[in-house]
Amino acid sequence: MYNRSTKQPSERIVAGSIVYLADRDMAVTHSIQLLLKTEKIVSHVFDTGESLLNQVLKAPPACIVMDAIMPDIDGASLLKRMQKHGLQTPVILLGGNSEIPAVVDAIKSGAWDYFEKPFLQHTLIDSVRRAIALQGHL
Amino acid sequence: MNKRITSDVPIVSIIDDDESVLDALVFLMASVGLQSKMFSSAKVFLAEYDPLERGCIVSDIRMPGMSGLELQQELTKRDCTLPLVFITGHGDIPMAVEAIKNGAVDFHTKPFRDQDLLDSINKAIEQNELLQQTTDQQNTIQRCLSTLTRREREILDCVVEGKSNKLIADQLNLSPRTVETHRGHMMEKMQVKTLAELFKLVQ
Repeated sequence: MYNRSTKQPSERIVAGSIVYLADRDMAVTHSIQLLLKTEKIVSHVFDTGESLLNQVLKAPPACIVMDAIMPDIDGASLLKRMQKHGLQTPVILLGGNSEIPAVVDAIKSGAWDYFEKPFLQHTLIDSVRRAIALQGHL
Repeated sequence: MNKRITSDVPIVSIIDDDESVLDALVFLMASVGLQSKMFSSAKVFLAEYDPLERGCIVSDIRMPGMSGLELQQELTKRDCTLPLVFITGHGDIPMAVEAIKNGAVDFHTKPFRDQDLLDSINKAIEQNELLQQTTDQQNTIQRCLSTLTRREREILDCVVEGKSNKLIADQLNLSPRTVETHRGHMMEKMQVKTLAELFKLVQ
């Protein structure tokens, strides 16, 4: 019924999907939220890893974009705890000064994508769109 | 040195444009009893590799001509299932992310510990062996299936759906005795003795 192509899902389709955002730096979350809004993607911002995880367990979103190292929980632990609950929501991690082995581990343990800050806006949007499309939220 | 290498022994194909790295890695492989081959570029590897070969590939990322990531794409295109382990002197995060997302077993930045690389290689070889076993098994099943007559195949499908001989006989307009005979031949050709074995095979 819907166009299942993962390359360019139409805007209408993405509009209903929700993305959860969390970053230590509120300026980063707000700029990503604005960016997603221009793409008609609704997002909710969380200021701690725990509040994000709690909400994810209650109502899994289409995609999660989070700081690889939130003060209270890092990306790898979040992934592990989600997987323990059988959740496969795509998680995009944002890092600053990351070491390659840590990034490799994150992707191997199931992160959908990993971007080093500062990143190009369109690369993040492309990744979010592909994650949403894959999720079957189309 | 030049002894014939057969395809049932796992071989580590090492691709790097730096001869000293090749030498060091071949030595490392030999020290743990692994067979290896050296290639000075991705192009040379692609020209010479044998699709039936087992093992894995250890490749540099940045090489003149074809890069390691381009090689990965080319191998995917060719349905080559040899697992890849990347090593690189100047890797960056996007490269590492792409390599792993596209299925590389690991991505090591130089200098790395020999043991870390060997761990990845062993994992890659194991992964390749598992896949090979599954493929071999599927091929055997396909071979068995292809020996069935049309009637036997029909009966196999019915049996798998859990139908009784009587029901199958009614459905195919045969006598239960005939169904039994076909069923016996089918089980024999599929090389199974019990229904449980048959289910496991064709599930």
